Amino acid sequence: MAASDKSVDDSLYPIAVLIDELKNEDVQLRLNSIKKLSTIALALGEERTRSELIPFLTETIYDEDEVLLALADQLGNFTSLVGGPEFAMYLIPPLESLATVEETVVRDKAVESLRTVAAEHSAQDLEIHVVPTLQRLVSGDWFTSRTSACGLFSVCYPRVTQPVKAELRANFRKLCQDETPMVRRAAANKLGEFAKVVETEYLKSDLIPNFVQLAQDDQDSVRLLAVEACVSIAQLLPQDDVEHLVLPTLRQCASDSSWRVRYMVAEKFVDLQKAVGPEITRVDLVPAFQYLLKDAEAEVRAAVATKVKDFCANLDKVNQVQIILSSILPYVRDLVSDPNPHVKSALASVIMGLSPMLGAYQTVEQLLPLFLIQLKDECPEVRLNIISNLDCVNDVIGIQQLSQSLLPAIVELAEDSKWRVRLAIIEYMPALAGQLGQEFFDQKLRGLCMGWLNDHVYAIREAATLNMKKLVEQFGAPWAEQAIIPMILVMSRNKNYLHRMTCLFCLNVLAEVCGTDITTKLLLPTVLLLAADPVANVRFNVAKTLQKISPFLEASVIDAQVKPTLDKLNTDTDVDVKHFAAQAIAGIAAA
Amino acid sequence: MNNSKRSRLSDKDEGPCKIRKATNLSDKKAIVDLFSSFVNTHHFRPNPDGQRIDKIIVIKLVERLETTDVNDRKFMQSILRRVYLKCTDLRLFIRNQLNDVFFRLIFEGTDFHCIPEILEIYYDIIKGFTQPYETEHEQLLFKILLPLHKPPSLTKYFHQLIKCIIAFLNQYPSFIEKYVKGLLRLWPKTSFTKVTLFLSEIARILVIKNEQEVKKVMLTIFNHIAKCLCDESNKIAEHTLLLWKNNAVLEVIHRNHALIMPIVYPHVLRVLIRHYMRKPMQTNASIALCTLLKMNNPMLRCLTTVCMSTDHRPMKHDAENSIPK
Repeated sequence: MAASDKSVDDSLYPIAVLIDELKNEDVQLRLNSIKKLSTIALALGEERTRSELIPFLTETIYDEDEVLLALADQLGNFTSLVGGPEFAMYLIPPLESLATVEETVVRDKAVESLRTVAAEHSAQDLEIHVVPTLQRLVSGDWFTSRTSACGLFSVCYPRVTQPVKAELRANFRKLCQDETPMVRRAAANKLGEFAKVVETEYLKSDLIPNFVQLAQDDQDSVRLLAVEACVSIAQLLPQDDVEHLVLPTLRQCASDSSWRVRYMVAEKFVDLQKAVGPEITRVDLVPAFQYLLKDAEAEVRAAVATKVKDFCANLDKVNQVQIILSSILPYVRDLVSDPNPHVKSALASVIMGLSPMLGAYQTVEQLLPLFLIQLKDECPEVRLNIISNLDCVNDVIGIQQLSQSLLPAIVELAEDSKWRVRLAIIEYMPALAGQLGQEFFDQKLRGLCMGWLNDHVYAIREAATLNMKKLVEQFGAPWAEQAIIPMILVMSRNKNYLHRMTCLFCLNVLAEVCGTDITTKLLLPTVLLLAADPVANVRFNVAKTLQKISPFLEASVIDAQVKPTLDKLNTDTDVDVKHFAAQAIAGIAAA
Repeated sequence: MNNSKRSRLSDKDEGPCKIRKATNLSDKKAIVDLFSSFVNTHHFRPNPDGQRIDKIIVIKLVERLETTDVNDRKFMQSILRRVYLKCTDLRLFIRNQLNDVFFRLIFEGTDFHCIPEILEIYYDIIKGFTQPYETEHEQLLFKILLPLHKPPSLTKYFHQLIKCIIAFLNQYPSFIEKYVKGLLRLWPKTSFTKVTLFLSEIARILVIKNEQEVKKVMLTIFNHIAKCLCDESNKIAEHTLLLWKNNAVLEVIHRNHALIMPIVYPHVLRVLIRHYMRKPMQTNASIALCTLLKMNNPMLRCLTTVCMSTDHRPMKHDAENSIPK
């Protein structure tokens, strides 16, 4: 008797605890309970999970959205806990309820779980249990049920019988014609995946009419979703059918009155191109591409501009060059001087990608003039995008040709009378150097970079100093040793103390990237030499420099050369020099 | 293919489309005025084609309501108001189009700039509602206005939203009880800003001039206010005390003090004790106490005695010791 009572108590315990916790006022506690459902199910065993836990949960689906979301998530992984696929149907009722609630994230999660659970049903059970659920959702009063229904068609359709398939197609058509735009948008969203599982004959007779209708919807938000479906459908049809069934609608979308729809066409253009194939592309998509390149809306022009390279790359090889030269470049040329900066920078990021397709001669003839215009654009992002992509052109026409064409523009910018323009070109120099290579840089650009160190504007000298560090990072310390350090050291004897200061600043930043050997042999002697400079500003910057570069020096060098110099500066006649010297001594001692 | 822009509309499409292309304010205003005049004088034929054209214009107007330029939004709003007023056969369609914008905000998470303007239009629509109520009216309150409390962008349109709700509840007081329960279910958990907005809405509901219906939710509301007073967040407790500076709310409390004081007083007292180090809280709690004191001194003394009693545990789970005398 006692043993029997104990057994009964134990078997009631998990459900009792769950019920108590789900009644708690604290949402967090209820949430924690839901997240432990799998543990509770394991404790109960499969049969009681089916007969007690699931019905209990189904009855209590009225709670905070957070709790419902966690519940929908858990149930998606419950198949094994109710006894495996043959019992998966027990999970349908609570998930169906969750698929009708108002909160979007809960509904979406419920649909996701329903798809998972439906996939685990046998074909027979699918038809007996899941299809009726889908049909109830389709005929739900409030549109949230109907939007959820849209997500279930593709998972049900492949494994049901022919009459049920016909019914599903009819139901989907009804949703495509629903009075509520929310439902039509959900249908348009799922049309693509549904099309992939429908037989070709029914794709033509049923789904494509739905697609055509959605693409002509009153709401532009529905029409733009139809564009995505267009990609999927076009991939599924042979060429002739694409031309007759899909293309008229696609043309219509490309010239839609709403820029949002045209934007979506631009966004999906390369996908559409691949889906319809090269012949239709040549005849119909090239004109549509041209049309979008001239769109009145800057957003559309920018979106389609980013596709220029990919679109051209996917043209059939036989006609590629001819199409680019005769049909694309004239429009691209206009975009180079577009009034909107976003359009120009979008184009600048891809235009050099045309170079490998056109070959050396056409690159020089057609593209270089455009590059030069873009290189002088007032918008920094355009210039940066051009410089960042020079390697595409490098590979095609070679460094010599490229340098002959671009160097004058670069030099012109580098010597511009407005210091802000000079400053801008300095910022691109490391990227440019990386693209053009060390040999070209040494021959053509090094003089410019050294010249900036002597500029009369401090901001230029400062930027030039930083530029030196980046160049050394790019080309390496051995290059620095023979290519730039000798010239920098010469500045230490410049008559103008400002340039001697610049020399010190260079040594500061170069020590970081040159390493101990070069710092000890080449940089340090010059710093020590300047410690005797007649100008106090130079002397106290020596103190600061010595502190900064000491981490890159060996202790013996510091003791033998650095400290004596700092000690001497610490007795200087100038108070600032003494201050910074003392600071440096303390700093080095602390290290 | 034909590269020219294909217009799906006849000339009537020119008005709305041109507005976006106008380069300055006076041009836009001229076009709006022209269209408004057209709406005022034109007699729409109730035939299928005419209806189609009219509906597409409405869709275009709503589409163009969504713009970053506040002046443009006001223009579109004024046209929609005129069309709604003038074309009675389009009213249901217009409401459906506006509802769709709300649904996209609530259910699809799409952000819109034009929600305040649409709510202003709806305020006028609600003021025009006539008895008896219809299912559509009820759905407006519970499927649209109530869920509009959820999106994170609530602060951008809250004032327009609350005007709609109070106007609605003034028209249909019988919905107050159900609405308040729904509102409390949506009460924010982690957003202080949202809590302050919800509290101000509760205050507005309390002062609706239909005492019979408001009384039904009095207990529920003040129990919730008591919870806010004990909220772990000092800021929420402090903000809740500001209700005692609202004269209209005070009047409601005064008229119903027998019901309210036993609920609220112990928590105000607790705030006073718990936050003795925070001067603003002290000040506001003292004001609240003084107000309650003036309402019914004997009852207050009785409640104080009960709370102070070392033998009595008036508050469940109260971990604090007795208040020192």
